[in-house]
Amino acid sequence: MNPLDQRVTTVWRLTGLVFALPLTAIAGLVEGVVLAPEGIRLLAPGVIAGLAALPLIGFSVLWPGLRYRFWRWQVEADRVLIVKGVLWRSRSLIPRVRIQHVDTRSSPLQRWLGLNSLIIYTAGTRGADAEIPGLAAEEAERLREDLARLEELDDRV
Amino acid sequence: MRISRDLRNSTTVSDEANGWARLHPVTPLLRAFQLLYAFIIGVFAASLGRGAAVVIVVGFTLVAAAWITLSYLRFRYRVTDDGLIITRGVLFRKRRVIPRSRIQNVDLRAGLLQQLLRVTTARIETAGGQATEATLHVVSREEGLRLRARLVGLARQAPQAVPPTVAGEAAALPEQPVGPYPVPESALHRATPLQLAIAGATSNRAGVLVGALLGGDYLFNFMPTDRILGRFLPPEYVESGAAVQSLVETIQHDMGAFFVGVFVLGIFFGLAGWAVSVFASVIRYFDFTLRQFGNELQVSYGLLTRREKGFRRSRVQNVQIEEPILRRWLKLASVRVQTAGYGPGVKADERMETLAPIIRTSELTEYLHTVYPDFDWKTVEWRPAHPRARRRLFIRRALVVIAATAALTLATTPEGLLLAAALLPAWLLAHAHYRHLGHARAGTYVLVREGLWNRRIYIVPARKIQALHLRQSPFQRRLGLATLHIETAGDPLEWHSPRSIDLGTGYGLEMMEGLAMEVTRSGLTF
Repeated sequence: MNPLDQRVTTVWRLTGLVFALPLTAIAGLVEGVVLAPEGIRLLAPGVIAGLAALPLIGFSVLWPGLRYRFWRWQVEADRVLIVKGVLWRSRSLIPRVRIQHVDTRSSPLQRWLGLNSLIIYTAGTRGADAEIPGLAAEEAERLREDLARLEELDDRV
Repeated sequence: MRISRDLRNSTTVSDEANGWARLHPVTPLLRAFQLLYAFIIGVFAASLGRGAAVVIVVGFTLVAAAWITLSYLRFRYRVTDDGLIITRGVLFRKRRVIPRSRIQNVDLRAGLLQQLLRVTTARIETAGGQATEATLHVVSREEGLRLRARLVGLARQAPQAVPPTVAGEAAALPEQPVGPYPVPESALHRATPLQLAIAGATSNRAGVLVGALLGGDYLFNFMPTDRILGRFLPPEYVESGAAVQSLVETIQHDMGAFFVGVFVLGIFFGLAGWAVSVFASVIRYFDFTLRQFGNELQVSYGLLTRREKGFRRSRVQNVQIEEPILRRWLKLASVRVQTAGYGPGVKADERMETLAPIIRTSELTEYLHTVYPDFDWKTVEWRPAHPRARRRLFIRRALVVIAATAALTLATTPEGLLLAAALLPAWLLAHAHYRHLGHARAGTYVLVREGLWNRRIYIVPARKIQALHLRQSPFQRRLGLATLHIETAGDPLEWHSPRSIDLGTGYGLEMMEGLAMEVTRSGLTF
């Protein structure tokens, strides 16, 4: 089965950091405003906030590597397979006759790295299960064309 | 032929004689009623500062009246052979064409006032989309039934129209009904108020209501519980205010009185919750009727809000049989169907059609036959989940017991260890739970079931499967188990959708493979 494009880990790491930074700022604020006046401190100012932020930042840096390693996808003659999940594993099978339409989508960050997300829609409601988040742009485009070819065979719900 | 007719229509938009209809004339009146709450705000504003408020209220009334009248005049709809066309809009003119083939169901819903005026709100639901595709608010009840018959049922032709001229069409629709709308010969199922009362009494909702009433009484003291408690307990224990609260204080004075109080309050709240549940069920499903007309199924129910729904049998994505524990003991069940007509914008408990609020399990065979003619409930042979599932179900409960025991022992006394005795009932529950897990194959159908307190059985035709997911939690992975999710259109929530819990991983993969092959085959043959 195919892995994602390696560059997707960069996207995930940066997105993780974007969420980690405000939380770090909040930790710093809590230390400065709440704890410091009470005289609670470790060694030097900022250490408590740093300790609080460390797991957050560590997680956003390390987790994407694991996530990447467990992500696999494959398009076969009659199905699309997606295998993912580090702790909670999932294996999704979308029969190609059930594909309604296929989108490619890219955030500014993805565009900068030349990546696209491929989103497969069925008449089922949980479309997010069928998203392949990091593909080289040309490959995503090629897949979209490829998957669209079978779409017309069956359009009934 | 149909296309050309449609094109001609679109060129004569304003031609009333050509089938364009307006909503019922009471529409503006009802819309004005809907604005009544705004008036209450206005009155409230008037109490603050009189002159300006009056001006605001009068101005608002005039604008609202003009807007309501104009939008009523601008709203027109037309039923064609291919579907429904609606033009509307006061400032921005909108035209919406809803193809007949995309319509999943047509719901008629009439509140009390609408029932008195003999009108109804028609909602046209299509697959996909966030909310209702089109709402006709309001049309006369007859018009609503006619719309439903023409958009969902077999009555493709306009009432006075000539019989179909195309041979293929005539062959495909052998039962052309005559008359303004099809008159069903007989009802398949009717629920009596007694049956509905039983449905309410056996639903798990009663338990939830007991909790809600208890909590509500504790906070707001709206029930006469202290007076009831006063009859059984010495008055010095029962202070005015929430009975639940004074009961908690009683524990310090007299253990015996406390237990009497718990017993009395338990019975009182149990009966109250039960009564509310029974009452709600009777009101909601009052005069429940299921009719079949060719391929169309029609249900109607409700006392205060009367719902009349219709959908095509071929649009049923899956069937859900619900058996809360009390119903299971009484050999009763309720049946609901997923028609995929409702988007995420619709309330969760409205997203499935009720096909039977309550029936005997012995009637299920016949009942399921009306939805799936080629399905035989009697031949279903359930296969259990993997035996190791029992271990997982036990560990899950045991962890809670162990954590609680540890916390109690550390926090208070060594006697807290006695709580560990709860491991035995936990094991029994896990065992009972395991027996309710299972799956089955019956022809082209796949069945799954789960749930101890509220058992749910799903029947899914393989041709309606949209995607398959095999999932594994870390616990399941250690035990070599996996859960197979069977996704069909329209299921809003994961824990309310068909899934087979705790299959052996290899077996789950095999089952997924088999179903996928069947989906592909059904997709290519039709």
